[in-house]
Amino acid sequence: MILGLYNYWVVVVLMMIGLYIVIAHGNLIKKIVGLTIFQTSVFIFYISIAKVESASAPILAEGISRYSNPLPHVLILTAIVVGIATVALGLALAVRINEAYGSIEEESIQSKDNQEC
Amino acid sequence: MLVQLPALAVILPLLSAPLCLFLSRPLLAWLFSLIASGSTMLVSIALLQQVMATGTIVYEMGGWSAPWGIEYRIDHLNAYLLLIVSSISTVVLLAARTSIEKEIPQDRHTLFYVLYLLSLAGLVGVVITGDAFNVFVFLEISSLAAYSLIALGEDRRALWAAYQYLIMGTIGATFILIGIGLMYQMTGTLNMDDLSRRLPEVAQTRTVFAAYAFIIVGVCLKVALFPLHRWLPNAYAYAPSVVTAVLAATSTKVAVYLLIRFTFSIFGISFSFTTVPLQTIFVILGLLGIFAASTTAIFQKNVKHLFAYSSVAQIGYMIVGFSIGTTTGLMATLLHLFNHALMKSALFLALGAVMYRIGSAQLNQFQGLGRQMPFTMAAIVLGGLSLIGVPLTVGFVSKWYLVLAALENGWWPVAVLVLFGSLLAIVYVWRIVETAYFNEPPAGREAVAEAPLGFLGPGGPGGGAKPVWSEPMILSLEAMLQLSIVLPLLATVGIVAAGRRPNLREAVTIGTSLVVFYFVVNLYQGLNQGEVISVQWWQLVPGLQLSFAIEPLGMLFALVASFLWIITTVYSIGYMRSHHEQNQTRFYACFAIAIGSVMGIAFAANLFTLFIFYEVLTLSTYPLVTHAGTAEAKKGGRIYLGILLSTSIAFFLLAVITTWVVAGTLDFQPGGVFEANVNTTVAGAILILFIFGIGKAAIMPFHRWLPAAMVAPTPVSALLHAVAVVKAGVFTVLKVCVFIFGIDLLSVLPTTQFLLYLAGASVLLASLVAMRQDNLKARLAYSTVSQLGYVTVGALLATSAGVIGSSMHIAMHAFGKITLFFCAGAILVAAHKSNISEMRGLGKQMPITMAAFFIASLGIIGVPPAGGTWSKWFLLMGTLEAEQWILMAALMISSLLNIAYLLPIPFHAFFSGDKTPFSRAGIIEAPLPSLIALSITTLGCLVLFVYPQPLYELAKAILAT
Repeated sequence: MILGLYNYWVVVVLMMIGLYIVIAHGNLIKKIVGLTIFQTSVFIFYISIAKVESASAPILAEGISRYSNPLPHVLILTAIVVGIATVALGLALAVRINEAYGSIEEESIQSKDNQEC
Repeated sequence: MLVQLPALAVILPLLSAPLCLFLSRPLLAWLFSLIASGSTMLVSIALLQQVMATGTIVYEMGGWSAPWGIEYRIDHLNAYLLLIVSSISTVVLLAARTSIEKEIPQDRHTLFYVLYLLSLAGLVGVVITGDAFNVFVFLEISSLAAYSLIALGEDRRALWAAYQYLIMGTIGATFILIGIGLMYQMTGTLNMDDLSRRLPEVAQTRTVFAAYAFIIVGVCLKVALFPLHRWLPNAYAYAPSVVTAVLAATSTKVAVYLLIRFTFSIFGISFSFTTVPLQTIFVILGLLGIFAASTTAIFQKNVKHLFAYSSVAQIGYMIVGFSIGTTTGLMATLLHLFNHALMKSALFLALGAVMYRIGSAQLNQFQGLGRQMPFTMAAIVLGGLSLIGVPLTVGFVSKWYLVLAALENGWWPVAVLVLFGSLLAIVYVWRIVETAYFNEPPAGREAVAEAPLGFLGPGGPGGGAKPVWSEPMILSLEAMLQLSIVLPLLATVGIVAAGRRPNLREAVTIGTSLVVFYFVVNLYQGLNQGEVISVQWWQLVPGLQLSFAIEPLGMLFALVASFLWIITTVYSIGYMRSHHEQNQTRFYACFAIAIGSVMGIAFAANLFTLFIFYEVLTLSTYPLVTHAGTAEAKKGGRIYLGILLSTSIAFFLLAVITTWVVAGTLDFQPGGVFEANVNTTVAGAILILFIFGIGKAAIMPFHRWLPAAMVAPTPVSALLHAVAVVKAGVFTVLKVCVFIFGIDLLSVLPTTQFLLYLAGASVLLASLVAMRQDNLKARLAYSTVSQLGYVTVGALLATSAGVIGSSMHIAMHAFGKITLFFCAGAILVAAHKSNISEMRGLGKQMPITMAAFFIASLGIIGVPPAGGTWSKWFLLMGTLEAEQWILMAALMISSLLNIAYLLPIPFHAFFSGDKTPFSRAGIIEAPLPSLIALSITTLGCLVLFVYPQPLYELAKAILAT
């Protein structure tokens, strides 16, 4: 039972790892890496729920009668695109922050802000 | 074409965005996006009309029918939100051009408009779609655009804020994605309508619980519900002003919409509130948010930060309304959603205008702005009042419903806490008002002009629902009734317009006061002939309207106030000129508004109307109290406003709404509105709320505002704080006692006795305190507190003699006290003395003033030949009828104390001091207009002794109707 659902366990573990990195790390790039892992776990989750027992990939072919559910695949394609856009924007912001503050460490950015106030 | 409208609403902005990229000239890009946004607004108007006419619209994207295809489903809720989003976006865009020219580098202007349109497309999409996954996609489109828009801010902190928002926002969106996935796993559908039908079958599984939890947490992150609000303040504060305006007004609102959609439409209310303990969690978080964020707002130095925290607090209100879970609660949330969108966009736009001119949003830079940017600051004040929830602004309507919803559900503590939360809003809004209006501009700042016109147009919508005229303008009695309220308000326009020509300005004031008095006298005659005069202006909901009617008590008050307004105006001309006061135009303008609202109070036909004018009176008199602009004046003003607004919002409003819930009506009716078998404990509690809530009646311990208000110029103290404002207070107490409770009910309530003793104690204590005051105005103020206690006692005695006595005392005391204040002002102007100990021998210098002082003192004490005799006579009779021996003794002793603190003043003035013989050359009286005014009121005191008949008739008629 537990082994049979192993891909869900992978999802949960990846999700926690990703979320932990986002929260615990002060480096802006590492945060984005964490965010990506977090999002990827959701992609795997969607693909997992689409799987139908002993069924093939949803590509029309001779001699196959059972297909996996194609809808979540389509959905997750969209989500991947959104994820890419987010990562790209996040990285771009990190670059700009580095130009403006001279650092991508949360602590030093925060302390520079506090000095200004 | 009409069929394709739903698709058009999204496609218009979505396609315009990439097209806009090709327009390199900022002006073109601006025009293009304005057209795109404007046409989206037109589409949403058409959609709203269609929904109103035919009900829910279902549109299948690309012809694929649900649940396979994506469906757009527009019902009343999202049609309404669609209009909010698209119209706010259009209005903000109007103001955008001038603002971004200053805040965003030239080469990024086109990009700004592209992002703006994308964000609009995303928000519209979230609202319009009927597909759960589609929600996620559109949400991310709008969010990604929003992150980039925030990063366009000038300050480098904008980048950091955008980054933090990106991280938080993406976590939130991914949570929503997980939740949607889990729902799909359980039901096999993404269509919202379909989901709502299939979810109940599987509702008791852990997967659905998990899905729900993920979605709610994700949406709450986007809503910025406390404690998930950390991203919001910095993002709002460092983004370009225009971006803040549009984000504050739309993006969190759309998130609130999602919360409603998911909780009520998809999961269903029984699952959300019964199976999952969400109701309790949301109420607690909402209230915590209100208090925590409002408190933080109070300590902000940057106005943008201040408003950002205020947004978090306002979201708390929406969440509270939503969690009540009834129709009224949801209505409150939706109203507040709309209202808050309106006022926050106005506030941030106005703030943008300020930043455009002074280049900063720091509060200490706001000094003196009220004079330099009058329209912009007026917009900020209006928006701020609306945040507090002051009547005649939109914010009041939503708070009203919120409290009503809480009470209907029996959630007393929530209603109380919501009202107390509003008190915090007073503090942070007032910090801005005080800085802008009562501080001089800092030295070294160049003269600042008003913002460009592009700003001013859209800046306006923060205002309120204004009454719509329905009656034809023939001078019937009804018209006169309305005019006596409206004319003073209109006169302010004339007064401000004539501001540079003092003679004309004062002529306008006097002219208006004469006309108003003429109207009131006509109305009085109409009333005597038994005509029924009533007018209705505007209806909020059935049974709750702004309406006016004439009855004897209100007539009495209106007669006194409008007559004394004429006299006071004459007096102030002498006083203000010889005292060389500044800002005289503001003085006369606010004075006129105050009188207009007094008329409104006097003629109000129900508690609702009365409450509204009551609050207007408080606000319009605040600038008068703070008139001098000194630190002392500002402190006095703060106490004044603090006590009056707090008591009225925390207690009075609560009492009004509770009455509405218990009795079902707020109309003043002879004999009261409560049914005979009403729970006396509840009614007793309401009575306490009323008496404490009507802070203007100055019952101890809520009397502190009156002495504090004495920093005002003397004419203000004379008319407002001896007559109009305080009398409005006791008048309201009388009205409530006679027409809401009815004296029969009043006499059996368990709390009446307690309040009677409290009022009696107030009478005695205030007299004692008055004896110790050396400042003449302070002594008179405490004397007023004491005399107001008499009126309250009379009202609470619940006997006919008591009611007659207290209503007569309103008039008698008015004449006496106004004379005393006139004298105090005359002494200050002519002899420059304000302390009693310095007034020895003054009688030789100012014989007329001192003689007037003597006669008026007799009136206050209540001995012949002054009018006060009669009212005190009836009041004592009232105590006899009610067999309140202790109170009778208290009133008698207090009258003796009156002698002790009033009579020595004229006595010493005439018979003490140096022995120089009296000579005509030694007379230095106050200016002639002041002298005439105080002679007239003194005469009034005497005439009312000989001829109290009309007053008595009116007072007797109160109970007869």
